[in-house]
Amino acid sequence: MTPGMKRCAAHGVFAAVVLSAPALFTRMPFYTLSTAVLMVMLAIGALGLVPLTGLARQVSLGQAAFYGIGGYTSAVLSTRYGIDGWTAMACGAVLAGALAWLLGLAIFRAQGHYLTLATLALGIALSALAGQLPVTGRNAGVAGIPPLEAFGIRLDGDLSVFYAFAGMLVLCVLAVDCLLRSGFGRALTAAGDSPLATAGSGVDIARLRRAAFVLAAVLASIAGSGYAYWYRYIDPGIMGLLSSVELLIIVTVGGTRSVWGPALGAFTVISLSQLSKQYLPGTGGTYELTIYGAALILTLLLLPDGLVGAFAAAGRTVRHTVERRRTAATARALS
Amino acid sequence: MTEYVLEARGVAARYGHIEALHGVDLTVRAGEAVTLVGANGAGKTTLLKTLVGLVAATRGSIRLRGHDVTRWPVQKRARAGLALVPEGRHVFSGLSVQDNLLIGGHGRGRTAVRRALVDVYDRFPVLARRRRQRAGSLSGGEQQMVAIGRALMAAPDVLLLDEPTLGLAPIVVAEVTDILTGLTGGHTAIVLVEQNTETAFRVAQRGYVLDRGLIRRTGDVADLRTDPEVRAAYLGETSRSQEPLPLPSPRKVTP
Repeated sequence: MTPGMKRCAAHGVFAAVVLSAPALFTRMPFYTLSTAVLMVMLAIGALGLVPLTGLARQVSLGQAAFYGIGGYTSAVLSTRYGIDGWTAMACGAVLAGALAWLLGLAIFRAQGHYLTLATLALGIALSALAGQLPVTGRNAGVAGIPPLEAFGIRLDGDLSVFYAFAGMLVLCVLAVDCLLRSGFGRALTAAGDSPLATAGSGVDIARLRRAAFVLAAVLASIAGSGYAYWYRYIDPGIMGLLSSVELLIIVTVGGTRSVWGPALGAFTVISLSQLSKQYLPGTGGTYELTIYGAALILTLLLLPDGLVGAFAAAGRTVRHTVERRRTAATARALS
Repeated sequence: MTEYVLEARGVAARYGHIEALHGVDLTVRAGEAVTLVGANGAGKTTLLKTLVGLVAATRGSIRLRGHDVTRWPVQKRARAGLALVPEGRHVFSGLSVQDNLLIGGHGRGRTAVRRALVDVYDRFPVLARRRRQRAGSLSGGEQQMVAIGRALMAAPDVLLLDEPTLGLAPIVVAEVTDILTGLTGGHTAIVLVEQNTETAFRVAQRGYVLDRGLIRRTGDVADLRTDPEVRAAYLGETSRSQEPLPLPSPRKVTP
């Protein structure tokens, strides 16, 4: 089996697992279809952090700001101007991408951790702005967002929304994987390893990082739009720092250097949150933040490459053990 | 058309308020190998970084094939023909050997990259055998080959190497010295910064002796090698007959 075929097979398994989630989730005690939809939205929102944080090693604390831009653009265009949901979603993605590009023009000229600080400020500023502007419904947010429609079907139930966005997640994972296997992904990895040597090889690092930042913003915006059409309501809280940290934790737990990391991370982190609500009596979700923090610390300490990295390492160990035993058995048979 | 492929005139550079280069002149002809020698802190690495654009020149000019590149960013200079092999090798440990080399060919056409890859593998057969292996898992000498091969992928006019033998075992130093000697005489000119003067003088035809940000001596390596003053003052050898050359103190620059 060639590496390309293995990769295709892995994507096939990933798609099958994601698309079969409703069948499993409706049979398990603390999962609901809403949980599955939320996981898919968060996985799409965190996917852009793989090239940006995992490969280029640029930490963004503004992913939720772009999530919010997508959500608000879709909500405002659909409720105020009656624009079709998919068009509004595309407008949100363009707006988020354009803002990321402009911000990136200024940030990536300088060296250092400017992205983290700038995106932190962006999230706080946009969240405050959304809470003040009449067009965004101030602190009350925007309600009554119409559901999406696809091929004449209204996506107004959890199941239909799940399949629409799970399909989108699979497509986004495939697209990002193709991108990361191209020269772009190679250059991003190189820039993460040694910016000096990468620039010395003729690569424009600022442009490269800006492209990764725009990609992350566009994916977050798509997820935010999806969330707005599913939840039918959006408020400034969606753009807060906590939401950005949640996306960062999701990608760290799942694996920052694998396109499957965000999906696995979203599943793990949301499951832990659900478990705490179910089995820690009387907490009412107040332990959610503690659990996020604990998950992050444990991952950084025990699984620096996240769950995907840990599974890959376990797979390698099993393969080597089997090969060693086979070789020993052959040697015994020959002697 | 200028006779020099690389020409630096009166180049000064500083870190913060401290001037590290005080107006350096350096010229390199096509295919020529020159070396920069001197004690630690002489400004050799700063000069290389200034030539490739990692440190901004505060005065003077740098010309590549006659074009003034003094204000060009590092990636533009790299694409124009200045390739740096930085100190510490800086291989991309998360990428395979082949991907490391392909980064070196960034911005070149597919056919040119394929040809360059074949050339690098011909020059370093061990890299061809290990092309799918992660560069971070190679030995120090092999990593140095990757770093040199990556720079050669750009078919540069000038290859600038910063301490290529630093931290390598003696047997590997000899191997790297052979590699560098093999690179001379072709289209690519070499500027070699090397603490190991044996390696430097074996590879280069001409040398510059730097001290505290100034060029103190220049000439053929055969002359420098035998110059007792140079040996005493800069190459760590004692000479009772010669007084050390007077050295300038680092100049403070008013911002």
